[in-house]
Amino acid sequence: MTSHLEARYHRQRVPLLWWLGRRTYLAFTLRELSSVFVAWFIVELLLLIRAVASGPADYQRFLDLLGNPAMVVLNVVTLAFLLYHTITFLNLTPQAVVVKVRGRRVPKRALLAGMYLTWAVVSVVLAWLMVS
Amino acid sequence: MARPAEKVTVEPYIWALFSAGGMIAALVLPVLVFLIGVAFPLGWVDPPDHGQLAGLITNLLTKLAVLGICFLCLVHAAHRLRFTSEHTLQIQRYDPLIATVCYGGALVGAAAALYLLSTFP
Amino acid sequence: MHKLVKVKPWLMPEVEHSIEDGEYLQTPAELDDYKQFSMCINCMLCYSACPVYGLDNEFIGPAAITLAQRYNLDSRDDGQPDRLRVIAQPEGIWDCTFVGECSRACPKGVDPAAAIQQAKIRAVNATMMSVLMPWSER
Repeated sequence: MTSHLEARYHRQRVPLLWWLGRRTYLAFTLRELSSVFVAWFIVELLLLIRAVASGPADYQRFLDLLGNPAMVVLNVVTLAFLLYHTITFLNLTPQAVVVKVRGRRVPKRALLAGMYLTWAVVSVVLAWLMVS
Repeated sequence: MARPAEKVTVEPYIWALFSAGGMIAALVLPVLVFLIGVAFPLGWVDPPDHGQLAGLITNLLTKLAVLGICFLCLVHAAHRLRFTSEHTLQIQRYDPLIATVCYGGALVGAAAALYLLSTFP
Repeated sequence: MHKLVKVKPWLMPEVEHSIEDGEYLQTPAELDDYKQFSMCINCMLCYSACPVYGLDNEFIGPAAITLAQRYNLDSRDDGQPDRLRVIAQPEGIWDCTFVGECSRACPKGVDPAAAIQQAKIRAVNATMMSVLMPWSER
């Protein structure tokens, strides 16, 4: 509800490409668009599982498909956007989450280090599961 | 009894799923894309053979984990797409429709994951 | 401006002190909990910076939410449920997509973006508690 005073204030029309107007707005919009690649990779993951379920021949066919240069390029772009998501998401975590140990606030840098360490550990464990 | 919302709103639940999905996507997906999308195809790392991968996926814990990952990451993506499309295209007035399409899409994807995993040999 | 008043920016202790009871006591550590968010000078630069507010005037906005959080975090206050009823609305905290421009624009380093995200977490916790433990007063 706008008060009767506000209804008389001038409201600027927001340009359609407002997000190109500042570097920070662009960085934000790209960060949000990384979610497209999150969804895309989940699709890829499900297609992989389906290929494995169909048997060794289909699995190999899927691997060959992934080897196609166009797919590699697409997945490199996907990787780039996913890394961008990870880094921005982890970096914002200390702002959003206040952790207190024994009554004292954990400094942001310590929290951040913990997040990145967790990321490293999870990655190593998953890689080990996938490769061995 | 104090209820936190004046009008009952589902937004808190969506946001909780969205931020969980964001954390999962941040921690889990990069290494998987790197391996599956880059390292295996380019021959930097040998992919697991069919038997190894099938053995890994068939485990119930793996299936549950993968289902959780898919569901949360899809909700995360749906949430961001909903707001980003509204902010960049300035179509907020269609939010109920856009939200339904986005979260609905995520649920469809999660259902597909559930189907694939439950029928996995 | 009425948005600032909407969030009930005053102390709402569970048990009010009378003049004879004296002041409400607070330790420096308790002050630190909300001090940063109390530094707001109401310049409203955050509203100019926020793209969400630019696109939707109904959005309650950074300064209002930060003000609510400043009181929610105050150890002398018990008014969080009342304030959450105001800010935990679709046109309240849930409209925010954490662009972060508000904190960048703030001349006093209040970091409203942080306040908003923390408010979201509080709102989620409060909702979960009211669903799982409806008998509790929080």
